[in-house]
Amino acid sequence: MPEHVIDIVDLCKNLGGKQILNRLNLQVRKGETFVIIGRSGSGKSVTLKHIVGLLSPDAGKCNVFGIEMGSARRRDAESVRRRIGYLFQGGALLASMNVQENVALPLRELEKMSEDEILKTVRQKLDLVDLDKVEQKMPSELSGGMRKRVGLARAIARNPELVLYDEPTSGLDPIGTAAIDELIMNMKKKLKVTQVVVTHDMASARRIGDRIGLLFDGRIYFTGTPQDLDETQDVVVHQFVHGEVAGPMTEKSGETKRYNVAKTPGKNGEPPGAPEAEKGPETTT
Amino acid sequence: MIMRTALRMVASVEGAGHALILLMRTASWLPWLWRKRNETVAQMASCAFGGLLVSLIVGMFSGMVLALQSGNTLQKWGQEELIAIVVPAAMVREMGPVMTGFILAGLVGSTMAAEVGTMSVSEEIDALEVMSINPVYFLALPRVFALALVSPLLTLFADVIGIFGGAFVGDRILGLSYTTYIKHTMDTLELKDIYSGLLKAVVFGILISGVGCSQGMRARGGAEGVGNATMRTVVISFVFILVFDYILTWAVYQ
Repeated sequence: MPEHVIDIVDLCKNLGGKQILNRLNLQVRKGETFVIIGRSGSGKSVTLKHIVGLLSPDAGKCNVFGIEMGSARRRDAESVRRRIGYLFQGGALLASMNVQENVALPLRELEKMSEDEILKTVRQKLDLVDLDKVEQKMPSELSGGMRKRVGLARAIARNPELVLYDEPTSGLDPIGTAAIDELIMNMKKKLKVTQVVVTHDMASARRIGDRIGLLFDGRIYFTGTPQDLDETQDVVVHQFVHGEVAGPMTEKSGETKRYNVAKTPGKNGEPPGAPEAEKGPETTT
Repeated sequence: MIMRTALRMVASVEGAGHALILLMRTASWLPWLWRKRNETVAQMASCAFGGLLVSLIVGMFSGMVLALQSGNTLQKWGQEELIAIVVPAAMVREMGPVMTGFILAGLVGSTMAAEVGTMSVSEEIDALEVMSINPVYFLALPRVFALALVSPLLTLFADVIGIFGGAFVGDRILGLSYTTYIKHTMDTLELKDIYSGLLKAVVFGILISGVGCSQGMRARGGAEGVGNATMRTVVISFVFILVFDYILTWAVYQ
């Protein structure tokens, strides 16, 4: 049985009177790149924020490295966070610090390292994300793609075992998107990290994901390999993957399940798009 | 309209509570202050330069107006010399710390709320939390300590220039010489007046920075959220200054 780095069970979250997550179940295995896809506002980022403990669940459990983040003491939650790197959508670089200071920040604040070691590590991490001669630049002087790279360099500064990416390619041109995708694939190859990527870019999801989960109606509706995703006959998945306006995914479908999905049988005669999709096609990682 | 006003009042009371909680959490990080010494010095410089000029101008004119108003009345009874007692006492006990507090709330507290609020809406504070860097330690500690030190310093400047403003009006308008004015001031001003004023200034500095940081950290919803945080910082700080001014006056002089 594969080791699960993340094990989310029946996670529920209501924000501003809207049920964002509704009994969400998700397991992420050690060493895999799991991509969460879904419409804007479907709860992808909210799921990531539960994983790092920035949000607490209304109900259910979110276990990360065996610690339940919702009820963990601050010290335990921090010990888990030390093993996690998080790339925010806009990079979330501190605007008052230059690139070098941003990447060095977690090392200066949390590690007992000499200044020489810190600068050497910063250089290494910037090399890993293919950035050169930007150390003294301020975040406002960088392009969107470069800000994300610096954000990733900061996220991996302390050699995390799990890296979370929140919309890493949003707002980037196709070449920038491909470059970030390659970077994410390289992270797995070079650093052997487990990765969870949130995106609604299907091309990216297919390129980088070992497994892909579709978040719909507050839960993981479908899980499978990129190939499973392309082969499934499920109308919800089909609508999202092909970006069709007409279908069960409507503006209201995120609030209440009031659609009537005409499911067609999957390969094994079971509905491929069932909410309990973890039982569906398994990935070979 | 009434409902909106009531909601704003509730939000302000809630904001005041959050500020006091933040200040207690900031106090628990005091042993780590030495690690934030560079940021604290930078914040002190920023607060001092931000408020110095306005404090001096307001302090000077406060002293001059006090001297003019009280001097005109006292002159009717030939008691204009008393302005050398009234103006310094009023400046050092009340006008200096309260006016400087208002200036710092409007200039420095609102700036803190805007800075921290912008960090909040651009997920920089979330990023700190994810890196296991406590935002209270990282952002609030240097700001609160810096303003706690700078506030009495600016108050002292405002007091001194206000007293000299009174002396100027006494000399030019009321015919009271500088020597007489300063002699009366030195004879009547007590040490207790000075330290109570400076104590108020320290407390106001702590409260203003606490409100600014807590409102900034709670800012949500982009530019509008930052704007609201800034506005609430000024409102809550003003109320705090007046309430704590009364409490401290009562504690020191009763």
